[in-house]
Amino acid sequence: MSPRSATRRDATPSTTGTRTRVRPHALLPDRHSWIDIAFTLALVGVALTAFGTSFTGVGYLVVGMVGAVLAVVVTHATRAAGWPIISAVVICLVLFFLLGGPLCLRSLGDAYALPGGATLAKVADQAIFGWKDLLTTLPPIDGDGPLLVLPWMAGMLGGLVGLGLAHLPVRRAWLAALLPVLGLALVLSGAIVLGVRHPQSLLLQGSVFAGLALAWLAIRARRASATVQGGTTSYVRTGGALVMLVLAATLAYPLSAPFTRDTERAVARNWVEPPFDIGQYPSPLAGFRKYIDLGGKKNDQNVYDKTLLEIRGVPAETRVRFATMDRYDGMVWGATDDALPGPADDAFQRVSSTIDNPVDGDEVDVTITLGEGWTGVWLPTVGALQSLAFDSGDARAKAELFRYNLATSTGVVPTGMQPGDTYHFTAIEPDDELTDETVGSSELSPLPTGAAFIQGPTEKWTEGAGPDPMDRVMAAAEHLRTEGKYSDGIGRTERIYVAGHSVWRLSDEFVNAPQIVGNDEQYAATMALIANEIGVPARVVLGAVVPEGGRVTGADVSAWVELRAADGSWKTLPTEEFMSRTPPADQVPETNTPMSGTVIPPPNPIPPPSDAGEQSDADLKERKATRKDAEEDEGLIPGLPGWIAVVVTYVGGPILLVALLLGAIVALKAWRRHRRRSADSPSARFVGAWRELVDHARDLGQVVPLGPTVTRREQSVGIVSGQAGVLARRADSFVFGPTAPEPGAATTYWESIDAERRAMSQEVGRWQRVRAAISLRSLRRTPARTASAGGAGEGVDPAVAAGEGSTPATGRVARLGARVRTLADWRSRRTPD
Amino acid sequence: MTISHEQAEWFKSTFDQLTDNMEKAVLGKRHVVRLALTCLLSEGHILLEDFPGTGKTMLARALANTVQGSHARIQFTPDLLPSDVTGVTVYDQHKGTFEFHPGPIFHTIVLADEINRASPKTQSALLEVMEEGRVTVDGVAHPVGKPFLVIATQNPIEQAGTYRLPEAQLDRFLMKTSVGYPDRQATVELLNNAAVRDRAALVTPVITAATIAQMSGLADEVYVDPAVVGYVAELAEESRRQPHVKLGLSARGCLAFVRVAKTWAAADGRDHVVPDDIKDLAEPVLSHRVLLDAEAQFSGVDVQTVISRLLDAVAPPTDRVGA
Repeated sequence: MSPRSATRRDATPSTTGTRTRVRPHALLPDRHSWIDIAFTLALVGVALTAFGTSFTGVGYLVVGMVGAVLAVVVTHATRAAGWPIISAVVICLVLFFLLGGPLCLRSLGDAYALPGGATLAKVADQAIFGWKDLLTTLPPIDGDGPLLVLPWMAGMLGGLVGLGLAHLPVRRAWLAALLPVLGLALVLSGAIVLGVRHPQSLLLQGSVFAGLALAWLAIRARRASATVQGGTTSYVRTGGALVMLVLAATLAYPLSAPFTRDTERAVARNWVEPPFDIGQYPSPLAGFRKYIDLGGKKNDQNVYDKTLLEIRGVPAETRVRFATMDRYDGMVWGATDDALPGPADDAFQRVSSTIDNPVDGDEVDVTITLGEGWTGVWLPTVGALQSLAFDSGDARAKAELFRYNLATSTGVVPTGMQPGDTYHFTAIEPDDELTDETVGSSELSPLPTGAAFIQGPTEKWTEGAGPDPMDRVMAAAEHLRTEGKYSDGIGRTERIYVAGHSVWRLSDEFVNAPQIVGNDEQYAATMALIANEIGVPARVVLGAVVPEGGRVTGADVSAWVELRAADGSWKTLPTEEFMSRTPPADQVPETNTPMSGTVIPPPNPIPPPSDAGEQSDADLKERKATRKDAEEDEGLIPGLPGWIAVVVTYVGGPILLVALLLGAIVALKAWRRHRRRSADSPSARFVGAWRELVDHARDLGQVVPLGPTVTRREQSVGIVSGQAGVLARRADSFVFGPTAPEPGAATTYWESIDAERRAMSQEVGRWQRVRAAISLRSLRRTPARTASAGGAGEGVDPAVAAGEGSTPATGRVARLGARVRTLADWRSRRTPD
Repeated sequence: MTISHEQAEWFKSTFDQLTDNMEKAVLGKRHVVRLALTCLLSEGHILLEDFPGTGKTMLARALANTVQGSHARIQFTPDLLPSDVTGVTVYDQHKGTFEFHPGPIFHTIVLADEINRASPKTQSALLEVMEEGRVTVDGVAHPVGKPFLVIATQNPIEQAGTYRLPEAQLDRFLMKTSVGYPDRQATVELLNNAAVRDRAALVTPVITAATIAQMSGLADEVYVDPAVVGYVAELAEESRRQPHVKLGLSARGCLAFVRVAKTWAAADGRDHVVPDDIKDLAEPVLSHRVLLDAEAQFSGVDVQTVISRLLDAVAPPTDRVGA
């Protein structure tokens, strides 16, 4: 006998008049289930903390745990209902998309509302491609951003996997115990892989997880063993297993030490290349001549006397960095994505409003407004950024696209910065002063191909400077400053000193020329090459020295060199240290250089293509339009502790949504009952009353036969109620009797049905009553196969059936047509189903 | 004019009384007994198809005994002549006239045992009497009286030397059913009373022929809502559309369906027919009227499967017509 039939038989009123308590499904967890649920949630919580270093705040944890709790509830409920595990997966999937918007896309304005197509698409997009954004964004990431979809998914996945595997019927005891732990270990591994190299807490993620996992493993092994072995348990074996595991855990660290380095660990971030290519933007050093004094000549691109930016928050003489160029390719010094060897934060990564950039120094709070002379993708900054916010223009879009290179302290906004744009940031100004005690780094960086020309002059200029690399660098700088001349190539006799810093320009026309002549571009480029040749890593910086008043014009722009010290910091070698300001003699030297007539204009800035992919301008504008004011959100619950506000902010929305959904279910049932009770004809009210009883039984979890070919008497067999058979007979007698029923009889019948419904509800517990009230079971329509002449089967509109005549619709197409017509005419039904 | 509630209740109690009486002989077969009684009260005939030793004859004799009337048993054999069933006209030398000598068919309950062993000619001799309740010999009609019930039996496994009943003959039977083996409890009870050689003798008449006729009249007055009638009509139409069906439900079958449903409803104490009555009676009423084609057997489809599909394909009404 099947369990269902057994339940039905047991629930049949006995001859003694007592009624069996109806409880077809054990929804409330038993002791074992509670243990599994508790361990699952605890392990998922620990696994989620792996995101702690990736996100700011605790929003990620709240969202993840909400997902885990929902998945656990769904998994347990589907198991209690006897549904397959795939149903739990499907329900979790629906909940994932349904609540993903309000929970995770609040920053985009998708909150407190049923998700639309765009929201669902965004949730799906983040679920599929979000890991890439997470790995290519410099942590920590804003705790309210769309990337919260990842912890939301991880939490739900953890709950589903943990409890689902715990419920999996496995014959082997050890496998039954191990599976859920392994599943959650995989979730933890996934979270770690998506995390950062430096874990937030090895103790929490490793020890606590391992401890919890071992405890759960032991409990489940003992439980499964007791089941399989007929009640016998093996304490010795369990204890031995625990000892072995502890021993293995103890030996793991020293044995694995040779293969690990420091506290860093293997994470996907190490291998995932950011999809951003800084090489597509022209070197700003190559365009240096737009900052030079043309001596009154008109040139639209020249910004010598134009305001580039106005800076507040830093004193005069502060160096503002436009861009750092750390690699020479024989043509230009350019910015690169991977200047430093090994895994390091030397790539241009997306960053959020706060930047984890540990640097010692003085903190400054700077506001910059770009002036009329500024165009381009480079973002002027000071020191090492700690936080940044755009105040004007398409601020949200710029923040989304902004990329920053921690190693070179260079920022880029791929969509470009425009005159009038304002932004503010906090930064640490490190000690970058080059002193006599500064020891150069010994990390050798190979010279680029074609730059061997610098070896000879370097050897020559540093003779007698001693073996110390830094001393040799300073000697070379001194030579350049004293022997070189300065020219922007403007004067009639100076037009031979062309722009650029290619190998040809720097060798034949600069260091190997009879007279070293050039401006910041050539001097800085050459100086950096010399330093690298000597063995001190160097790079070129284009920037400006802030004048009094903070108004930076093209005249303030210069190029200097930064040298890497032995402690890994970068020291500034000011332009004045290696560049002469003495103009060349008014004499045209012998040269085979074709003399160009005018100033070679700097290369036109190439409009940077958007690398945002799906983050197109339209998308960004849409998000901007729908985004709620962050300040309003922050002030949502004033006066309450922060964590309560966070919990309420993130959990309140879903709870409200769920409450609305549940209320809608109850209201829909009440409306359905009203329609049935007030149907046009009395016989239809009888039909409706019976359906109400059937639906109530279904909501209580009873297995009632359904379908268009099932009669009331057949249904009454499945209803666990003392009066169901009598009520079915009464309905039939009134409906099919020789005389049409009176409205009064229908009212009386409805009273009987109501009384029976109450009696059925009283037979079950309070929780099951609540569950029945919000159950969707009775709202699911049963399939109609064909209509009968005189009426309709369950779920078939009698009016439609009568309209179709006595010919039943057969065949799949005909039945589908009847079904569509039924649905279309649903509102006019006389006996609402 | 429809049957009143009181009449329906009386009908039900009498019907139950008859059933209880017959159950003295036929143990554990209440449903089959009720079907046989329904046939009797619907003025129809019943065909029992079952294995030997399942109580077919016992059922027929118990039914005959419970009604205050005569009964006869005709053992059908290949050499049985039609006149052996209907009777024969012989010349009376004393009176100088031909005189009709009625055959065994002239009884209230007639048990036609192993009817498929008789020749088609003899089987056809039953056609008129089963349909019209009379026998015409030499141009003279001889009514068999009321009530009149033919209980025919046939063995489904011994096909050698048998003549399959023609469709027209089958349609004359109101129902076809099988008795089946008794369940364990009935078997034990049967064995405990093994000393009782003839259980049918335990059944004594509890109803007169007049009362039977009265009950038949009441059954005719049971109300059938047009929705239920439409349900029967749809079942008939659908039976002709079902795959592997060569012959579906005929109009005579539909009439029989409604007639037997009325009696069935009255036996339940109701003055109206409900769709459940139709579903309950679908198999005994349809099983011998639905003929399958040759491919059905190769496809593993039998009549029961077709009837099940039929009931699955047509939705019974839930509301009355015009409500």
